Amino acid sequence: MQLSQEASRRLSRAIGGGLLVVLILWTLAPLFWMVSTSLKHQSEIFGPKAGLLPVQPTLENYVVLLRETNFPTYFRNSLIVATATTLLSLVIASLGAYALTRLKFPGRKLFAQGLVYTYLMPSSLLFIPLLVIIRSIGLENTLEGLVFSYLGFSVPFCTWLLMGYFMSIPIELEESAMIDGCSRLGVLFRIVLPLTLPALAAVAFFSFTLSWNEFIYASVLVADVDVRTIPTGIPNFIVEDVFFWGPMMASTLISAIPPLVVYFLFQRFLITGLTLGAVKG
Amino acid sequence: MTVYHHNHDGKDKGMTEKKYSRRQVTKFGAAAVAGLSASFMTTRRASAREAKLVFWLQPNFNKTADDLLVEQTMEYARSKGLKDSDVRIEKVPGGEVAKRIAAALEVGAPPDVTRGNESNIVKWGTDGHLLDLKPVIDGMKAQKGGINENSMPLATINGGIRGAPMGIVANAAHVRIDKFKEAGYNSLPNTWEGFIEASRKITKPPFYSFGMALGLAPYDSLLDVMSVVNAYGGTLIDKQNRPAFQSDAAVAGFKLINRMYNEDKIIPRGAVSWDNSGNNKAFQSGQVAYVLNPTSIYSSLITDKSPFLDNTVLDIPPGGPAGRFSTVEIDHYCAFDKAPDKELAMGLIAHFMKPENYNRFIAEAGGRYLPVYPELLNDPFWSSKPAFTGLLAAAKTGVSPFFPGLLTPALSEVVTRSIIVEEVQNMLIKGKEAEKAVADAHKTMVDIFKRVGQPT
Amino acid sequence: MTEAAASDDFHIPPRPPSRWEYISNDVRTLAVLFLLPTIVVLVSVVLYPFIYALVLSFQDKRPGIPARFIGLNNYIELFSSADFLQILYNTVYYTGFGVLIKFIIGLASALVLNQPRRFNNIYRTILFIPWAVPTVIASLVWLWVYDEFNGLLNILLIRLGLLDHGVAWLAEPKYAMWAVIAVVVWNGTPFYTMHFLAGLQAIPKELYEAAEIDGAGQIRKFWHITVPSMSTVFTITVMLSTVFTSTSIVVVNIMTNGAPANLTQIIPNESFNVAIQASRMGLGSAVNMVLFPFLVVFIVILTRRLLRKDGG
Repeated sequence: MQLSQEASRRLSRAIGGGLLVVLILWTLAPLFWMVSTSLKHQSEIFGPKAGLLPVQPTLENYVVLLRETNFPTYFRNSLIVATATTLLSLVIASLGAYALTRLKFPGRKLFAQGLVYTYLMPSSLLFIPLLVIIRSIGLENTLEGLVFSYLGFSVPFCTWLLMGYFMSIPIELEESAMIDGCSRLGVLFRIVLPLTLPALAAVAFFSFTLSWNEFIYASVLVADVDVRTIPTGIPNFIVEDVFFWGPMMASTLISAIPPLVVYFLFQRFLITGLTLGAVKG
Repeated sequence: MTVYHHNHDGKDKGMTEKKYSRRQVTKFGAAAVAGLSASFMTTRRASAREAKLVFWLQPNFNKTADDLLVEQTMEYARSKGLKDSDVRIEKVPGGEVAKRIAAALEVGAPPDVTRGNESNIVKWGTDGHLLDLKPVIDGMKAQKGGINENSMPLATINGGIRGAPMGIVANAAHVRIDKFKEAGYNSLPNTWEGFIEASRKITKPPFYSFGMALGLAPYDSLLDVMSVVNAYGGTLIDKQNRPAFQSDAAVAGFKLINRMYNEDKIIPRGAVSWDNSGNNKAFQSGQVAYVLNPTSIYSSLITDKSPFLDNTVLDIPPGGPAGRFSTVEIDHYCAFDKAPDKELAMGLIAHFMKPENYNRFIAEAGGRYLPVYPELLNDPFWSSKPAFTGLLAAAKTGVSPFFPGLLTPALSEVVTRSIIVEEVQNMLIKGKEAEKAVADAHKTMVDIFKRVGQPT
Repeated sequence: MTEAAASDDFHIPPRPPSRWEYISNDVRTLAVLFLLPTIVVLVSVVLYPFIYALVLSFQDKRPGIPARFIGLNNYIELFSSADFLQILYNTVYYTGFGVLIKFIIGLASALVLNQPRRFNNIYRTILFIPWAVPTVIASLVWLWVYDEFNGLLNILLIRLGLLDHGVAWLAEPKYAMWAVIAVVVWNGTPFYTMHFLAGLQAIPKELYEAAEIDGAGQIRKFWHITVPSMSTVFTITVMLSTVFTSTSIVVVNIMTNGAPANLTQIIPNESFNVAIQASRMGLGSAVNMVLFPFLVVFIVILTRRLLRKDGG
């Protein structure tokens, strides 16, 4: 049986629509539970009264979170660390990716491949040696130390993605610019980067979320409450005996906001940016 | 792609290209640097050793008790002429201590003073990281009524006293007496067999009778398993600290646990994936009628004004052929030998342990710790709640979970790697025979003891 | 090229290149300069720690006391333990199915989002949300969803009449690993969706139009145009995700810590437990090192394909 083009298209859209509903439910269900719990009184969270929706919605958990915990500090720290890591990675990775795609030098291929292998290093393995290094340069227990360590996973990741985008830019553009008397740096900043703005946005988004999420390094490299980040601060709320689902769910909700804001800021570029990288010229 | 060309401000071509690019680099760099430094300016740089005194406070499940320790630390520091900025107090939750200390020791920056459980003290002490606290202990012994001598032998390692006992943790049976009464029992049954009888009547899913800790997080689960095994006369090690787990008693205990979990189903299925707080949460949220735990649960019920508080009694766990007793552990304060001013570090412990300071702490901790000074049991606090009678009884019958031996480095590894509990899980989940599970646990113990170089 | 750069200027008379100009136009020097920050970062926070960890795996090392070299003993201890082989198997299973399901759902999401539909922006945003939720937090939220007594999943299933009372999803041997994988999938799928959506949008429309003229249906177009055009994207995404998935400890650490009976234990978390909880840093490093050759082989296979494609 052969469906007509139109019928086949309509059918696939209908299937797609059904699938979309399922996907959205699957994505939102845990988030719904998080929001619902964060609006419940302790007595509604547990026991026979526990239902899907809060009977008497309350902001109590948010008040506890913001007034009685260090959450605002963790939040600020996470924001600083993620932003700084993102900015630095962008600079370092643009330079690196440009060199690896446009400058011909011996060992280039090897270097590019080696970059991939740096992801293989699980942070669960690296954190103790890393602590020694971070301490020896006097950055233990500082946000700078965290940023520096995060560059370890964010730079290779960003470089690798950017290499893809750079390759998609016709080299002729640069060559003609150079013939016009533009230097290499000039080419990078005046031609390549403006063209890859969407890609930079995509890379910035990934770099931001990766640093926003990081858990192991954060839990050993910084100790002081003043320099803790959200992923290490929140599990603190389960101080063994105190169960704290209400404020914890409130904190999880707030923690998801900054990456979402970054996403909204960049979403115009995100898909375009990834598209550029995906085709490779 | 041309869409993005507007981002490229194709200015006047006549400009000197080289200068332009250099300026652009500088501008970009300056913006990045300025952005970064501005954000960092707002955070305090805190480097561990700028402080003269570093205390890692492990939260006591009770904010007032924590605040009191902070206050006492600052009070001590001021009396020694330290500025507030010379003192650093970090709150390190119990679950993070192992990780944080491992990293801190590796880089040579442990705190000056912190609290440790028995396993911590043995591990850090054996590796030579802890100061000899003899002067502090002598001071404590000189107090009226002295200290509970049972709390002492454990901390003696490598010829020195590595920990100052700061609290007796009695693992008390927390019993929802209302549930037992509904089932026709006036108190917790004497024996495990009787307990199972009662539990079958009490258990009506989703309500379960026994919130047994069976997860792979070190400690609570081992205590729960050993409370059954001990009742049948099994022990982990013998008097010479050699592995002694292989016994009919251990097999009997394992079989009983298997029966409770798989046949009578009086334990929530989820217990095998609980972390150390699992049994606490289950009890505090009213899902189980019995848990064995330090009284941190009871003090949380008090703090939270829990609806279950009045129906909760503390008792000795059910017994068996070997008797009926509870387990008791001692928490210690310890000082690390990396402390720049050793006198100052030890002085802080002595300050915490001054009876008047200590008594306030014990009372604020709301029953979490029994005092190491027997004299302080006369405080009216201990007669303020009827439930404390059961706690004191539990403490009196208390033995170390490592009875009749002592916690050694090899045993400490057995504990922290959950060797025994893993075999219990193999039995419960994978259907391994109890005999085989006990034998395998014993064999793994022997391997560890051999490797560490301890007699087997 | 240096000459050309300096002489093509209209307004300013030619002059010998300054040092800056010289450096900025000498390709090799420039390459070194550009790569220097990357090299500094990678050597100090990846390469050196890795070598340190590799050396550790041949040592008996406890925190804060000098190491003792013990050759292959750590590895021998591992491979003579049945539990460890189980953990190795779990890791492969967890990574394999995690990546496979993420791939399928990610591709499905991308295909659906790529269809013309009103409010597509909103749907896209919703499907990307989990990526913005830190893994620690996603794990905690799911822990609460799975709760035996008061979790969303059990409440729903009981209301629908499918269950009498709650199931401990993370404790039942049948479900535990899948419950963990579900969280990995939930949190990690948007990464695939984003890349795949980008890949789909990069496929020239003309290819489809041509195929339609030839009378190809949706399914044939998918297999003959979409899949081949996306192979590079597939490779890169799978590679990155495999590494992220197999080396992350967070989900298992927070949700089960290996229970029940080590059925959900995976290598990175076991390594963390051995190195930190039990203070055996040497053995802990060895545990992680075992994963390394698997990943290397996997990546070599994938990148070789990629490079061959690039060459052609």
